[in-house]
Amino acid sequence: MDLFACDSMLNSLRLVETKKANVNWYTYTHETRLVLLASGLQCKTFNGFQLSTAGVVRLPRFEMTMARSESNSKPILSAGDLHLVTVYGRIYCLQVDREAMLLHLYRFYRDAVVQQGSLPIYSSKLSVNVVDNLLLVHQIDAKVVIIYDLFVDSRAPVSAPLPLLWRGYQGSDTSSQAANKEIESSESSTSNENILMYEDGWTFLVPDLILDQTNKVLWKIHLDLEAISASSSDRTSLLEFLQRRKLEANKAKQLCLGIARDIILERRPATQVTQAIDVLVTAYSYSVKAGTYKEIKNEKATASTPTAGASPDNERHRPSGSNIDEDVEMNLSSGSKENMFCANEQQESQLSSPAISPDELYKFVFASVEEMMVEESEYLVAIITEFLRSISAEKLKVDLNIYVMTIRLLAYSKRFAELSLFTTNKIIEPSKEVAFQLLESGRQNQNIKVRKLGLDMLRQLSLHHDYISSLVQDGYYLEALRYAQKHKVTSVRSSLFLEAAFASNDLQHLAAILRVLSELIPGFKETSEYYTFYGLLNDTSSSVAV
Amino acid sequence: MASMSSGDESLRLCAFDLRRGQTEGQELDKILFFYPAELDLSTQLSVIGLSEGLITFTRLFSPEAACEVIEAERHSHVFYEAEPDIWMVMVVEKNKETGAIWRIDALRRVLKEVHSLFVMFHGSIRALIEKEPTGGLTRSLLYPFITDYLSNFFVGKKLQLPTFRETLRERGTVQMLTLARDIAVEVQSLVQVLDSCAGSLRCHSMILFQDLLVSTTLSADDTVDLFTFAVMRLTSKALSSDASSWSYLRKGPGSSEISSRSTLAPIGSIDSLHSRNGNDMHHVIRPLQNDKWTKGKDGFLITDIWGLETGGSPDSAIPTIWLQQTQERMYLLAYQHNSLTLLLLMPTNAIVNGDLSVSAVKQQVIEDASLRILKIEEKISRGWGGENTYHIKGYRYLVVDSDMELSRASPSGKVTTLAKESLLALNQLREEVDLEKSRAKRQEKDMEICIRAKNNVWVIARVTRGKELYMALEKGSDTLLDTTDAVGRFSNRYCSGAFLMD
Repeated sequence: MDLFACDSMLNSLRLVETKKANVNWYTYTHETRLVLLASGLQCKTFNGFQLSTAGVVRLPRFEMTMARSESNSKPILSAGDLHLVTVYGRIYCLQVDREAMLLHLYRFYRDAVVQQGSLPIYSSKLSVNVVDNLLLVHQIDAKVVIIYDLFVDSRAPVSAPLPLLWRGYQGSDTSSQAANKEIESSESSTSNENILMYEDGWTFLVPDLILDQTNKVLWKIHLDLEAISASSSDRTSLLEFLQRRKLEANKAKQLCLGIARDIILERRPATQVTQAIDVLVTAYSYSVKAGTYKEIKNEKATASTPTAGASPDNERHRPSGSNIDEDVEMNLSSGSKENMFCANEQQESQLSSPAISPDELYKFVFASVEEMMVEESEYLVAIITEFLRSISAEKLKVDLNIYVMTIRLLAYSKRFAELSLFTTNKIIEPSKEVAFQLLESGRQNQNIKVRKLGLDMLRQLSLHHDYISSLVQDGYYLEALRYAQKHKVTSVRSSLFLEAAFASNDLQHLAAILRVLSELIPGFKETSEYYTFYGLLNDTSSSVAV
Repeated sequence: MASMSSGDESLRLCAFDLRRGQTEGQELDKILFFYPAELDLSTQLSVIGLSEGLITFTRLFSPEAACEVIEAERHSHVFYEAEPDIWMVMVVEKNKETGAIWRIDALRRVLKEVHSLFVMFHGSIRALIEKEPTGGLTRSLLYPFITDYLSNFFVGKKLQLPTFRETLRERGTVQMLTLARDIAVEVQSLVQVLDSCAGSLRCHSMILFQDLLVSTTLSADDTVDLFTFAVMRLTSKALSSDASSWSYLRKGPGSSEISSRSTLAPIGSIDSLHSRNGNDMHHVIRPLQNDKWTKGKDGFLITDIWGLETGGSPDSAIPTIWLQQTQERMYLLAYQHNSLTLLLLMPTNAIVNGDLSVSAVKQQVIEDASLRILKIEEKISRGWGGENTYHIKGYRYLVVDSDMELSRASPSGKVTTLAKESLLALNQLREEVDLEKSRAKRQEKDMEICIRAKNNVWVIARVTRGKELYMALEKGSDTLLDTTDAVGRFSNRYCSGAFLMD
């Protein structure tokens, strides 16, 4: 068999190159730009050509494995048993081995083809789709679909087999039945009951379309992340899975936040929660480096102009036809009221990555569980410590409110030794807010040591005014004045010092303060305050003398 | 007995209960401990009688705080009321020639330390006496305990109490390792793992790197006690036979000799006076015994002080301590990896109830934490600059944070470069400051003293809101202004500006 590799140029076909090969049949998908030529008795020897802008790349010849049947007849591979898919930018070839009931995976590299494991199959009829870089293997006889994430080395399915369900054009209406897939009807007249899943007339088109010839409709496969997460029990790998989702980044993100909250509220062992947090933080760090993460704030700025982007949540009622482009047009013309209604959802679903920043983790996870967990503050502190370790390992920053919260929790459970270690080792990063929380926690617990930590922090941050005021409050008015004198701070009300000294009934101090203040503050001797206290000083001292 | 040369004149140390032996002929009953035990009873009684008389007398004027010290011509008597009506008195011989110049508070801190350690292991003396009113139990515990403790002070055959040469040290405080933030976070993360090694039951933990504290979840007082014990007996340095030269707690070769005497002495002298019930004759636990800890194969430290694991229930051989703050009895597990020592405390009642087994906790520690311990030890060791890490060029200093019960000082190797006169001057200055502090009592006093001593050394004391700084600057040419500048720089750079200098 001869094969002509052709190129279309200027509406004309021109023979570019001719390659001679023995070919039984061929398969090609536009998505992969890959032609596979099968040859040999069992049709299991393959030559591959990839069409690229640089020309035709010839792949090395390779053989596929096929189990022998008992009857010793050699099974012959047909074109329908082969599926070419692109996942995470990698090209895979999937080969059905009916005898072994296995689906073999071959990954195409630039210069090699490597078999990468096999997946078990449970149906003689099988088809494959790809949605959001996930491999969906339809077990047509069993009418279920098994989802695999080829990103991980494990060849275990993401979740238990899930049914394929029809979901009407109400689209994102989550009140409809839980399902792993939504199939958007291309014709509004098609009623629910009419549709049988996995009809004989279905043709599966890569990547995510199904042509239903019986009903004359085109289906688009859509993942229901909620259903998938509901059917998966390993939270850590589920989070990893969700973090890799691009198509419904916002939904994945919300699910991740929900999972993170739940595992904390359920008081899962700290090691489990730690793993989960590590997953989220590393994913964020990675997406920042890759530049896919965008601040929510920027998203909000564009919220007023919802664009009819490829928002999978909002794929609406669409006319009959098989052209994706038409869908988009239809979306554009959909009512403005509807757009307003889902504006929020739309703008957030523009997120290109489900990554969660440490600030968001603080805000939507830690801050939101604090109130409910206050009795279990020790557990929460353990989790926060792991969170801080995780972000420190990734060299990220976090909202300083988490430090304020940590102090609150540690003080609540009276763990002052750790509070002091957290502060002196700067695990709790110094800031004015943190210092004030230390002062406040110290006051509430009548713990002078904690208060002093706050004072020391104010001094280290050179917040002279606050430092001096707090010192006076604690009764160290002389020390405070000395500090004010040294650092030339005049913003603290002079009456604070004077009243404190007067209250402590120490006339010597009062006199000394008056003297220092008159040196420190220009024109202090002319103020009424000076006269008041000077008068008081004279009165009392004379009465003492008497 | 008279041949005993080791300090039989230089030191007398006794503990007695004022509530006991108040009737004629029963005086011996008040003695709970006496060192040296070989001293005849009449001498023992005369020392205690004098002390008791002075306490009673001074209480007439100052019921709250009785006698603290008596300076006689040849001796100093240091008093410490360890528990209500339970007094410890130390009589030390003054001798300028042999360098026996003390600071009273440093000596009192020795008494305080041994008492705190005793309470940590055995509970309060008063409680013991109430439990067993003859006092036999208390004596049988106190004798070996204090004697074992004193063995730390033996240099060769001579007992050497902290003299003026150790004036830049503060007993009863913790020395901390300064950590970088990222390591500190990892340490705290490890602490969380350790604390949850017993499942839902929260444990306490303490981590040391060499002789420095890395982290603790205990209150300041409990931290000090356990830290002191760990540095004495558990850390990698304490375990290695060639005892450290820079630790102020020295191990003496005379210890074994002392120990053998100590257990015999009380039975021969005091206890024979009382009829003892057979129950008390059982194995007396001596937690401070020397050279009793070794590192096991699994990384946990093992000792037979608390008995052998084969006898009785498997957990009975595990050391236990009392926590001051919560009055809880805890099992003490020690795990060591190179220079890192981890102490894990679990409430005994939880284990006695069978909720938990110690071996399960050990297993958990190895499973969950050993890898992290390995990593942290490696990271800390890499960043550790050796024993002179906290040396600051040109300064010989001691910073004490009495709130946190922390201190940091110039390494002792550097302190020895100071002239004797400088150390004496600083010692004297500290004595003065101690006096001022005790006069001020509860009130926090602000003090700033700079003195130029005879040999042109500047000795400086600075006390402010619970923090103290002592310093000797041997730069004779410097003026007072230069000196305060130098202290100010030190304060800003190393004490986050805690000591404001005018």
